[in-house]
Amino acid sequence: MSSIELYRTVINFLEKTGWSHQGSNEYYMYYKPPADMGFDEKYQLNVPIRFAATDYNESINFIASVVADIYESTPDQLFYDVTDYGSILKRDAVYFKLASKELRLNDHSVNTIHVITVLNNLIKSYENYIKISFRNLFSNKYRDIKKTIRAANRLLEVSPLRIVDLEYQSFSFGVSVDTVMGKDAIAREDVSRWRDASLSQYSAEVLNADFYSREGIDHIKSRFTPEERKAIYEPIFKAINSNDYYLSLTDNEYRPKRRLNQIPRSTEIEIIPPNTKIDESLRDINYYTVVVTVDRSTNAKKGAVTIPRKVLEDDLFTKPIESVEIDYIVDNYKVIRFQQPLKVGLDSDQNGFLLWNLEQFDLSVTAQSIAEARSELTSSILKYYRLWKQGGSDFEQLEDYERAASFFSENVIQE
Amino acid sequence: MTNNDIKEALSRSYLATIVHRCGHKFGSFTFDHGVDLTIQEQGTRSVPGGGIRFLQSGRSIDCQLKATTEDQITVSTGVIKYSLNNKNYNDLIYRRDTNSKPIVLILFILPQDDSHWVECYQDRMISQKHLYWYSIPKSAQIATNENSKTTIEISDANVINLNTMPTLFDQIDALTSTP
Repeated sequence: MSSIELYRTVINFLEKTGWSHQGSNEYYMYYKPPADMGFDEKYQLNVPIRFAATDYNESINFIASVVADIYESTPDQLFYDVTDYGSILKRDAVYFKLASKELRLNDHSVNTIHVITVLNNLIKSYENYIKISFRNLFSNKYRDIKKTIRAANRLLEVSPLRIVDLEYQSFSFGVSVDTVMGKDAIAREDVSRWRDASLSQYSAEVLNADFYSREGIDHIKSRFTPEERKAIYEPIFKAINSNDYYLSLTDNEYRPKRRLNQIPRSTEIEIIPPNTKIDESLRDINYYTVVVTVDRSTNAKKGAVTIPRKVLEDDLFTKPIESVEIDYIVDNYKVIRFQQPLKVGLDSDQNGFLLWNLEQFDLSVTAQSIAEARSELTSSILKYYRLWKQGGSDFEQLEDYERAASFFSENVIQE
Repeated sequence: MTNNDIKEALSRSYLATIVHRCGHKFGSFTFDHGVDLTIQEQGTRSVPGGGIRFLQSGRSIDCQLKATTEDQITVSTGVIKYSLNNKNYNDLIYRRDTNSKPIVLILFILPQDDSHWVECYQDRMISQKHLYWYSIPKSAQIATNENSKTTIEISDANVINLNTMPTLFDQIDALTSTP
């Protein structure tokens, strides 16, 4: 619903329930409540009317929530008598239509792979937009960027994009953010209210962005950094720029409102310059121990184990961890075992890189991948072990030798 | 924290103390739009059975906070003069023209000697010194040199303390009726 529609709805409700209009100026219309509502004689409600204001949407939503609170209800129940979960989601949904460009298909039905492409890229773009906008708006409310990104990810978990409507013939669908569930999981009132407006903001800034005029492109460039634009707009460009289908925005009855035309290559390059790096700070690194099965009867030497994220979070045999213990190393094919294990703290830094800490040696390694982190950590431990084996004759490495000696001399039990 | 960071933090604490003591809410309820903080008025109404229900009145004040020291202001009869960076001045004009409700500048004036900013004793704590609000006039125009400053004049009647806080919302409301 637009903010103007909400304004009209609020005014209609007030007048219907006996509030009296007291006057207005360029900012507000003033309403006094019915005498039997128990308010102080001086009380009046200021309904904002500066419709073109940049913050009008927030202001009218705030007044709607104030009125709902007066009547001990919610805006949905009070103004629309809407309590049905699906209806609430449909009311605020964004609607799309896919139509095949293949002339031989009379019904313009689309290939399933194209549907998957559009949905996957829409989700990716939206989720990155939420994480980036959340970080830009709320980072000063959290201790550090990692906690901010974690809060954004938590918000996305309780507010996923849902398909709320579907029409098979032309393949049209409506998506909405779940703003009904998960309210208890959101600690901050300002975050909860922002969530309610997040899809309409995404629609305005990304789906309805002006990619075809100088002003529009300059506005996009001023709004986000190149890394942020890559995260938000690159997936949408992939969804839009297809030779196989047309993608359009529609109303809730699937009547076309606007076709999303292909983005010119020059515009793509200007918005996402070549060699723009991925914004690693959006990563939210977590560590788990998990039980996996491996069939050793097969001769396959290579293989990847894929563990769905849902399994990680729901499985009885999976635990989040903050450290691991290393109780042996291998030096030139010889196994060196320790009495007390080395403890490796598992963390990530502000830039989304893995950060592993080896307390006994006052050592940290930073890496982009697990393989890289393991390799760096192992070679560091070996370096200390070999230094200890050589003795402390090199003055420049004396401090490192002392650290190595304080661990290895007491703990090596097998060589 | 730098001295400027400390001054800014103290200005928030000082304003929060007054706002909360008067029973209102204070914080960042809006996002972006050039607003540092919002003060939300809390009201009451009687309910059947003789009870009282606390609720938001719907009135709020959007603020930009600035902190300075006494040596940075000039006091004349009834007026406090302060040199505001033109970038901030132009921001206020922009918000005056594009926000749905008035935005005010709140200026916190601390003692020049930073040892007097906050004093702790066994039985009390003192935070100094003055808080004023300022609304950019409708006649104010954009300053063309963003690297320079504009002197604003704040009426000393615009002081914010425990006595004036209860009427602050009425005063700001009156601005919206001023031609």
